[in-house]
Amino acid sequence: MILHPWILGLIIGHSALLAVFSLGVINAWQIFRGWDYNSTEEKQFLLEKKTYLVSTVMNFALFIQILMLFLFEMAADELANVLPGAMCAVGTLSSGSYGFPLLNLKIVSFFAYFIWLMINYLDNLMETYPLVRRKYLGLMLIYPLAVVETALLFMFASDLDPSVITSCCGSVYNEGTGGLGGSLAGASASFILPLFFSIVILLLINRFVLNRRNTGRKRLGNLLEFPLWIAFFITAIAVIISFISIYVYEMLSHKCPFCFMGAEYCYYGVPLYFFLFIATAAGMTGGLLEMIEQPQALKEKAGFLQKRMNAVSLWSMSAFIVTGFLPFVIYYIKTGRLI
Amino acid sequence: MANPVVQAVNVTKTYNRGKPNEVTAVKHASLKIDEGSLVVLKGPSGSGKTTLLSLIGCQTKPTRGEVIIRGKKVSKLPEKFMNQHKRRHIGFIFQHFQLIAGMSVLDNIVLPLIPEGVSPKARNKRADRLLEQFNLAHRRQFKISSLSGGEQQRVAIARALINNAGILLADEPTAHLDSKLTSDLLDYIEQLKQSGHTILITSHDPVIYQNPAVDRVLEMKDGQITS
Repeated sequence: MILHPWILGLIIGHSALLAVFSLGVINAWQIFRGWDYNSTEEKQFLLEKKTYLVSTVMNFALFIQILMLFLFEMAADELANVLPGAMCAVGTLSSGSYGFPLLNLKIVSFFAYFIWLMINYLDNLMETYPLVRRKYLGLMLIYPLAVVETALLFMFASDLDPSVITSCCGSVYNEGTGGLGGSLAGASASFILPLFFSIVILLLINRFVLNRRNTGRKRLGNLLEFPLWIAFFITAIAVIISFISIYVYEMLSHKCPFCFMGAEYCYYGVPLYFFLFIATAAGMTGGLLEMIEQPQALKEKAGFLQKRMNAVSLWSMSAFIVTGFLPFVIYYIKTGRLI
Repeated sequence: MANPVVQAVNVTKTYNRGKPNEVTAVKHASLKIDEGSLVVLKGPSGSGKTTLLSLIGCQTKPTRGEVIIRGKKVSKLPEKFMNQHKRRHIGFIFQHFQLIAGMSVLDNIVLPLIPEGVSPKARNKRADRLLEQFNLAHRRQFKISSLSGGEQQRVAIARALINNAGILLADEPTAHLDSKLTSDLLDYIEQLKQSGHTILITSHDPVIYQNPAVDRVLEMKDGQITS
């Protein structure tokens, strides 16, 4: 299976990006260790040149890494055609031990890379490189994610066996099966929907009450954003599996969070996940930007970026809710009843 | 006490670092130029005048040391901020004018305003004022290639002034001019000095550095400022 075009493409892509990332990290270490902005010595001028190069290269590499998440999902969906028993990406991911851990890691990486890209963008807005050491420390800290991702991809690819029958999404996301998929599929709408909307309401209260100017609680409000958006993302995934999917497929037994990303369902899942990921990433970044305090010029720029991130997260969250609950509304209008 | 608008502090510039053809063009050069003064940097060919001017003009960064323009340490700025500072504060007249031959006089003059986001209407208004000042209005739409040497020189000066930069740097501006054009250029430079511009000229032409309008003459030799 390792020579399958999709697998080969993923492996080559990840390996090339890891190589670029590794070079970036070596340079990041040199910059982190030797940086002294006030120095007018040759070494510092070389590091200043280097930081421009590393920042540009890592912008490109991490942006492609982010796109790799979507490419991986597409690959898993395509590979389902050659794996017996697989109906969609779920079959591919569940055919070995590494599929879902790789997907989960890629989701975590998506948010880590997004946050780094925004911090890098912010640093590049400033004349004095105020975030250089912190951003390169961050780059070194997220590097293991890329290493483990690539290692898991290799293991995932070598583990795929077209002669072994795999599970289909109907069995993975079945309350009778057990496991995380089964538990999510079995989660009651009367439990998960109030939980999801409670978090949405908390986010809105936080945004429009705590986060408003002159309330004196703006800082607390912004710091709360980070954990609230993580909670939003997790509950949104649970809502997609346990509630939204039922109305997309109009079947009580089919709760796959992947099938509706295909042409058969007009790529319904693509905008749904797009809004979910953007809302969460922008919301988390907006919260983290609150931690930037010095110098004042940087704090002002961070505040401006934070406002933009907060607006993007709010609009994307609204778009996610509208997109997600549209099938339910349409079904209810058409039939006048619930599934 | 006069206010220094241009400062170089212990500046060194080495090209081709670590290679067999490594050369240190400027060595530990320091200078201060006060607001509104006319300074000439003289010295033999290869003494490092043009490199020092390029460092002050934000064309390149030093290997060591600091260049400060209007209080800002430009040599420490990231490229895009350094270019921005250069566009706003420095006008540069190159030795060979460096005009774009295939473009019109107007388009050459307004070129530095484009990255600043100035509207076409405002660009043309500013350019027309300079075209009048330098007696080039009748050549507005002419291609550079069809202009005489003297006209090209005036276009180069107009382009250096379009951003209302207070600091004007000129690299061997008389190197390819006859005595009449050299005299015209000196007249323009005197006018600019009177209007408050700070001017630094590199030249080994005595007509320039012996001119009474010059406030200070600095001499360079082997990359160092000797006087």
